[in-house]
Amino acid sequence: MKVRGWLTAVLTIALGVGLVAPAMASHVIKIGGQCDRTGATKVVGVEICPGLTDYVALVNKKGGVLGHKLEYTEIEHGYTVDRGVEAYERLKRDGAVATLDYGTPIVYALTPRHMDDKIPGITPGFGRADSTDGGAWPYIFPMAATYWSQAGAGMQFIKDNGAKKGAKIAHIYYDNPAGREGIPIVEAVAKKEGYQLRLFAVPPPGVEMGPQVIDITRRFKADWVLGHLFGQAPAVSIKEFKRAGFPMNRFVSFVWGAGEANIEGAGWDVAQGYIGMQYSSTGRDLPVIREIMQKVYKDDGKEVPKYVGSVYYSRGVLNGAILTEGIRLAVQNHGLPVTGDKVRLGFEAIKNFDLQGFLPPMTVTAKDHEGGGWVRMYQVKGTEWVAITDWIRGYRDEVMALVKQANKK
Amino acid sequence: MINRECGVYQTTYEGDMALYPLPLARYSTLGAVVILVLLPLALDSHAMSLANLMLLASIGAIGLNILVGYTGQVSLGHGAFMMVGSYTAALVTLRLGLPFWVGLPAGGAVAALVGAFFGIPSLRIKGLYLAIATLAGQFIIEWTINHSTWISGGVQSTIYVPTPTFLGWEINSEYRRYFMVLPVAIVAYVAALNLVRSRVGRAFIAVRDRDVAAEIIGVDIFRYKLLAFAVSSFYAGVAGALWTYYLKIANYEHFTLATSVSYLAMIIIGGLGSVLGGQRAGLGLRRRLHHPAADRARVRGRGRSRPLRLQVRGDRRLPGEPQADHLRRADHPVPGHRAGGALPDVGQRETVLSSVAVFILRRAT
Repeated sequence: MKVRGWLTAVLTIALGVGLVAPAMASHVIKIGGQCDRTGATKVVGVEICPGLTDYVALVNKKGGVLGHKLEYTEIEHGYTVDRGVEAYERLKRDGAVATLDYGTPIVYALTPRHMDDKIPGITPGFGRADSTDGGAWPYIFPMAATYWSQAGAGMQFIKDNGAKKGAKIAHIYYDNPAGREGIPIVEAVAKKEGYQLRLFAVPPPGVEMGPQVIDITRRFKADWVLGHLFGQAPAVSIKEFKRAGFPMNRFVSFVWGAGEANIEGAGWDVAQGYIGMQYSSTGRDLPVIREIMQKVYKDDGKEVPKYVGSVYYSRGVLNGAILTEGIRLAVQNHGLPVTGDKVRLGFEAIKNFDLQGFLPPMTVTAKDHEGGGWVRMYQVKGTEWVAITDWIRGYRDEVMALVKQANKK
Repeated sequence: MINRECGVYQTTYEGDMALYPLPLARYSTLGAVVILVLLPLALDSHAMSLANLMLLASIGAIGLNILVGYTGQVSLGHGAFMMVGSYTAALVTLRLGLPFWVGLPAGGAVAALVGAFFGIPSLRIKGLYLAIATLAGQFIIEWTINHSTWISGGVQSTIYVPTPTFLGWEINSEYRRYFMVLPVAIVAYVAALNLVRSRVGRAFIAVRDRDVAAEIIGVDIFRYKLLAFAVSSFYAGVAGALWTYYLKIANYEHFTLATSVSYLAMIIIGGLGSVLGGQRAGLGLRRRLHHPAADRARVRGRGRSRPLRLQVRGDRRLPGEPQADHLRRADHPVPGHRAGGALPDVGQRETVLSSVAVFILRRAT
């Protein structure tokens, strides 16, 4: 009897949907992205990728984007370039209208393809500070504070916290293209404010920086340190600076030194006071994260994984949110079928999008593909990251001047 | 191709010395070329990108096989020689405005010079020590390109090149790129086949089998070792240049040590001391690494590489150090991820590659 009742219900619904469906014409919108749950940087990948897929699952549970389901394809590339290229070609063949490009070398490799194929790619956190200029790079969307903006915000934070003319600032960076990217802004600001600046390179793989730290703390006697390190290097830097007796609350790290894994490597008690930038909020006490925990996990009787709400997971949610918002605006303003070009216009129409406080007030324009270049400072307190500022940015004129100059060549 | 000399009797020296002495081999090779040329009719753009990546890899692998498989010299600097070719091609195209078919040999030539220079230590040292010397080459070249803005084009070490054209024909899709890569791959293959059956090739093999004996029968070891490095690096340079035109970008991060080790792995799996081995390697390994099922298997930790897996396990906290509950990683989707700790476990692919490297170093010493 019970089975029969169910069957009737299902048939009725199916019939209803069958009749209504042609009128609604629900489309499936395909998007895709790469991920590295394996490979050298998988510590990041295993958290950032579920962030994106969970957000897409949430959107679909709530009925999709304006009634159209999103189909997100994640392709594993292990942070290798050839597999990244292949992943992009697979997504293109399958009709993806926008992609997430994952990893700085892969972003570089795919940039010409995006421009040729007119499929927009978002690259939050992975670079090409010069692609902020949408005029020169119409299909590349950094969509989060680039290293130049991070450098500007870091210098602003240091100034707001009492750095005066003549203050000694050390910039310690990973010696690869991504690591060196922040230097021009740091130098420009130091010149403008009259700081004494010295640069310290850490050669890859960045697990040995004793000499640099002794140089910074003993010889140069820096007042502030601005760190731009990746992988294992941030954890090593925390340990080394602590050992040298440098106050942790004078160390400001760029975004890739500000995850839980970085602190775990050094030990939470060692890192107390360490300051890091985030381009999305982090923690579980945020409306969007609470909604994901409820609708994606608890409603299905699944246990919420421990990584939900972590720094890298939140960055994955940001990726998902931006893709979704761009597509929503594309459908709303330009109708179906969704194409790469319409999604580009959708991205460029994003205005004051903050996902209930989860993101900075993002406004993307055809000129600014970065969305404003906002970051927020977090500090290690106890065993978590605690926000210590509101969304900030700094030296926007210097950053934009550099963007303009970089694209003039 | 795969066939045996049985029932074929040559009656002339020309016939005996032909590139393919057996009729079956001739026809199968011709058939293979026809299939390759017609391949785009059967494949979609994604499959074409795979074909392109495979062909690109096979060019580099054939080159490395000449050095490692035929001459018996280990090199961990193949990626760096590709990098030299890649940047040369980008600079030649960007600064001098030359087309890609000039950039390819130019990339090869500069890489050959650099390769011959880094091959000089091979006169004195062998095996493991040579591997270390070429490893130094990898890092020296990487550092130099990375830090001289004259070569790398700025702080980001990235040079964009315009879309390559051939007689006004824009090479801007995977299908068109295939016809840029395929001829080069065929020429590389045939040239290698010819090289190894020539006087030079026989000298390479003599050096590999017993260098002292080779010297006694009159092979100038210094010259042939350097020549092997130069030829191998020429192939690497062409592959790197082609990679630049394929992606329209030169970036040093595409040719790191991992690339060098990958290529060693390719030729070991494909077959050392065989030109077809290099080809097979490029095709096979790329295909396997790219296969979606392999991706999934790897994500689940059930790759074929399982027995070779090393893991850094254990808890890296200091005694008494607190650990945040939400940071324990026991519930990660990837099995084998350690429960709380600093170091990531070694990626499977890297593990396989390093195992392969250890294997070849052991064999070489």
